[in-house]
Amino acid sequence: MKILAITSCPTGIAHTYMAAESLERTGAALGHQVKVETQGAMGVENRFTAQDIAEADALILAADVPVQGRDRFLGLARILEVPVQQAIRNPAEIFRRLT
Amino acid sequence: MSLERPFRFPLAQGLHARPAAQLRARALAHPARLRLANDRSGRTAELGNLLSLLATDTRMGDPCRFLAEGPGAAEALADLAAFLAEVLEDDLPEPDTGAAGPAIPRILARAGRACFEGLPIAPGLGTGPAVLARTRWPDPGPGGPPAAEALALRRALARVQGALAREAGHGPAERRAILAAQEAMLQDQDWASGLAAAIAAGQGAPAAVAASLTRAMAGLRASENPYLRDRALDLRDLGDRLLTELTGADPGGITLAGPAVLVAAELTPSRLLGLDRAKVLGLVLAGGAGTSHTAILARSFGIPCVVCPEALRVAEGETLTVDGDRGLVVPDPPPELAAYYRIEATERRGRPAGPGALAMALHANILMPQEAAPAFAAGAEGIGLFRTEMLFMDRPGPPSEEEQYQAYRQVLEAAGGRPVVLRLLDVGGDKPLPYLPLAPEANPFLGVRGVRWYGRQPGLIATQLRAAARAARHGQLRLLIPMVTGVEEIRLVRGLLADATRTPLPVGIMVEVPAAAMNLPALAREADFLSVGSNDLVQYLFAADRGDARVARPEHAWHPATLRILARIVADAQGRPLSLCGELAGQTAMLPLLAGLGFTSLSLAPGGLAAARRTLAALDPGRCRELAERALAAESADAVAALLAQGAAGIPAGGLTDPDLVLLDQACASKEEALKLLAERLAALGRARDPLALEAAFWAREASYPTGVGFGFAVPHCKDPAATTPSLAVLRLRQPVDWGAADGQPVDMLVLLATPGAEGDATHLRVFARLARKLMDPTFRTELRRAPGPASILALLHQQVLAP
Repeated sequence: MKILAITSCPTGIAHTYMAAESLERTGAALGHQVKVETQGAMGVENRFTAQDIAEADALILAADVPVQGRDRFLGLARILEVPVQQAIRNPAEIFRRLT
Repeated sequence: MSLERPFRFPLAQGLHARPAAQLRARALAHPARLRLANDRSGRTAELGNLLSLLATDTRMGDPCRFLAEGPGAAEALADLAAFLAEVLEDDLPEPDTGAAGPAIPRILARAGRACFEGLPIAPGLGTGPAVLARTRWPDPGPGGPPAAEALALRRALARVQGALAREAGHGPAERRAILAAQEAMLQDQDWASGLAAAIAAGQGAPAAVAASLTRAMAGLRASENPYLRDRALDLRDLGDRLLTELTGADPGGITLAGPAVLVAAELTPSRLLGLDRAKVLGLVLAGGAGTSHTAILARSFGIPCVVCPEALRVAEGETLTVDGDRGLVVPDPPPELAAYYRIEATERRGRPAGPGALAMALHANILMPQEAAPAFAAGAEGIGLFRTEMLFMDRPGPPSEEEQYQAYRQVLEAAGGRPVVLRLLDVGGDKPLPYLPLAPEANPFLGVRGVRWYGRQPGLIATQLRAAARAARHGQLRLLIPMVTGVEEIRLVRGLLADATRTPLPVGIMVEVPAAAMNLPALAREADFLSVGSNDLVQYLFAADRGDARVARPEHAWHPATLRILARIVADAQGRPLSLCGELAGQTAMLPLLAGLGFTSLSLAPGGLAAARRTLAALDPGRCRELAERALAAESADAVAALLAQGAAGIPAGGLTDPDLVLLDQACASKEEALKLLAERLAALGRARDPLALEAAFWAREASYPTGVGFGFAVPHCKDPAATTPSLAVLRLRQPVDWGAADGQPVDMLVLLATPGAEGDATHLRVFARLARKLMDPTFRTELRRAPGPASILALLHQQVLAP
């Protein structure tokens, strides 16, 4: 599956990036194509392109604060919202719920 | 069967209606008979009776007991204990991230313990058994025949009146005012007739005096007016005198059998002076008149002191910890608290400066000989300014040569070979002495003060020079002349010194009058050393009376005019040892400027030494010089303040991390201790100005959700101005600690990130992000966990996180 994820946490200096790394590693191991956009203290990085969004099968919102640009995904049917900590501690469970 | 369970009442608001109702509901579920006994108020209530519960007048910290009788008593007590824990949580405000947050050590909340919050009066930490100073006069018992009692009273009144009149003849104005108030009381007809009536009715004279003054004091204490409240202490003093006359025993006497924390509603300076100071581990006061003078003494003697009326209800003999820095009194302190404070003390002791660090000697300013030993304990490298005026003030005649010799010797002995700069008597119109008559002056600060009267009245100063010369055998003594403007003044003092003694002593000058700064090349040729008195220098430079807030502004300290005259002084010092004493040296924000201007020695109040050392540890000499250059060219104090705020000099040379930021195999017993250790370590390395504010910033982040990430790792972090430098620290614990995380996993590896969050900090944030991602790599985690020492952890961080 082509899966997009956004990670974002209160201070934006640690959990955002741990969650991103965790989703990328586990997703790849499970055979998915995963792209993670981080919304942290350095701003939005690895921003999704229109093509990313058009081709995506699902979106994971691993965020403890409101994410920017949520309206980009109005056409996407499968959106899963989880706490950032779950993406760090139990990423496999997130992918299981998506598939 | 009857059981009881003691506790301290935990709710800040006391036992008010809501928790009382909850307590009642909880109690009704048990078959046992349940009661609450408040050992402070002495009242007991059935838990089932709401009104009687409220009537126990239970306040925070009160010693209380739950009493249980009958079937299921033990179960009921256990349930009530659980209730207390719940209701405590319920009553606590939201996690505090504000200024009040850092005051109370986290470890206390964790231990579920209450403490009293008061005003910090004198810094330091002391723990010991409470000794309660008697707040009420003892019951003198029944009197004799009324006629005899009336006669005894008349005699006592006359004697006390005579003593007051004698004392009112001299002494400082304040003391005279107090005595006058007491005399007025003695002459109060209503009071006299009240006493007479009480004695006629069969009361003994001591009982009548005690009762009438106790009533009068209660009336004054209840006043809204702080001045009137303070007068209660005067009446107490009067009562002590009268009762001493009547009974032959001092009723206000305090005796300390051993080291103790003294708890006193009121304490006059003379009572404190009368105690064996080595036995006073701490001081808890309710406030009142004389507080400030008592406070100055407490600070001088290094006795931690807190003003906290609520803490007066502790029990005699109960162990108390007095935290004079935070203003806390902790009854029955848990052992974890000592561990927490130990971390603080260890980390604040100061660290040896590394290579390339800024060289700055830190000396202490003292007023009283007793301050010397605590100043050296606080890390002073010498006494840079011993103001000797206090020895001469508040007394009818000057101290003898012997008395002065003993005082100077005490300082030199405390110094143990380190230098002591004794400033010669600096009095005059601004600090008048009753035995140094000077003509009235319209403007005492511009009048005959400091060295200016030495030639007119050489006797006083000759005595001081003789005493100093005798004391000089006990150490490294230097003499400092105040208010110098011309070379003839230095020659005068050298002449007086030669007359007084054959001991040659180094003689230096205060540079505190702008004329001295402008004439420094000539003065420096005659003086052995120079000391800038920044308080007076700024006052004279701006023609602004430093006691008048309408004209004296704090920003004068960093005004370009001040900086330029300081730069000129450094340039014209002719290689003479140069130091700066005064308020400027105690302002941490000024330190980069002073270092940049070329000062290599400062003298400041002992209480500021630790903060100054922390700030200096973080400074880079090159950046300080750059900052000073730009500040000298600035057009206003505001422009200089803006330069300082940019923190242009505040980046340590070490970068993001440091070998001292890798702490391996530490024995922390809790999350509180771990975060405490990290906050203190960052501050000790000059990476944070205020360790308590940094600690609070870490906890504020933990309040969103704990930063444990699994695998025994936690990533505590903050983006907060409390951190002055972006920092990365690693703490590996010997035993895992509970991190409060949702999964309940304990933590033994901490990777800590702190950044002030300033604009343009992307480089450090990028490193933090890379590190965060790296922590998801099991190999990296194992390597961190198994690294044999700090060097290998640093190497790991450099290769895998910092370098790419």
